[in-house]
Amino acid sequence: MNYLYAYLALGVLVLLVLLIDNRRSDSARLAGSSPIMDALHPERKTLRYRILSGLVAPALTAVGVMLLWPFGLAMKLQDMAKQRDRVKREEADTFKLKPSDLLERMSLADIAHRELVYDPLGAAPQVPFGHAHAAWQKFTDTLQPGDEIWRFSAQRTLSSGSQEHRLGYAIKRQGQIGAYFVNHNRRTSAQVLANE
Amino acid sequence: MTAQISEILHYQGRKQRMCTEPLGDYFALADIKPGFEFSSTALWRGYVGEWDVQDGRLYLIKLTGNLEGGQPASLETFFPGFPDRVFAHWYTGQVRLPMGELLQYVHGGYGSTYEQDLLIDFDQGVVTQTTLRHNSAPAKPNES
Repeated sequence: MNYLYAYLALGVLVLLVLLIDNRRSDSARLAGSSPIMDALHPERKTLRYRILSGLVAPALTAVGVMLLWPFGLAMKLQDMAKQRDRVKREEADTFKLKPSDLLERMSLADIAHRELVYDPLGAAPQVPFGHAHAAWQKFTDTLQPGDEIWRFSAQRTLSSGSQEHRLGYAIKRQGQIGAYFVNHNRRTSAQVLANE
Repeated sequence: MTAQISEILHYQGRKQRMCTEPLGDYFALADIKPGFEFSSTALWRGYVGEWDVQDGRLYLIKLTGNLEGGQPASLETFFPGFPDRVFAHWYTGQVRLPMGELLQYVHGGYGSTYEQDLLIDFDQGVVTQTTLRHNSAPAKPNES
């Protein structure tokens, strides 16, 4: 009998941990009612639905977790391992410019000429980088005396198998690559690459 | 992840679903945190853009969604002075327009497979190539 009590006590503990974790995660915030979901599913407003979703379902889930908590714990651990893998992949995919990506040194005037946007329907400002002009200005505001601007082209394969090709401009300060401005980022998925 | 509501592209006189999000590239390039209000797990990005290809150029012509706080977003929100049409000069890449019957439903992103995909390549917002790809239903794991 003592084993049963210990098992159930651990179940309550696991339930509490999962509840706290769920409250802290975005999914709980997003699972709340939204006008769009209410409009799509009018039954969400009925008393029966509210009782089922607000009382019966959580109660049954809680009992289920308490009785079968090793499965719940295993699923949570699996979820955490996936999350760690995702973070690792994101770190590996973080974009870093290499010296070999730099193509040529350019002046601001040359870049302004090269990147001037023109649209016959007048749907873009006729300035360097068009709609992204403000971002370019913000980038050039960081220039210091002696800085060089280099055009770059960087291609790499991501952990997903997709290929990424970024084009833009980088600041070279005292021989070191510093801030950069990306004006084109073409990503080709692994599926598309396989079909080519 | 739930299957996502697609963007819309007006192409050759028809409204098509477009499983690519060129506006996301703009937000990244211009370093904009758009702050759309979440409305559904079928629309994680929080907006639907309506696009048009005219004279071989890609334009954003409508934006539907709410910003955090509830106010509706429009083209003017992110492209002041351009309320009706925005040339997507920032976009270099391929957009995919699924066509025909659904062959396999995937409950996530734009993973479902349709009979055909119309693939349109753009270089700085200008069409460079159009390809029609014929798909077959992906084999199930127990099929050789």
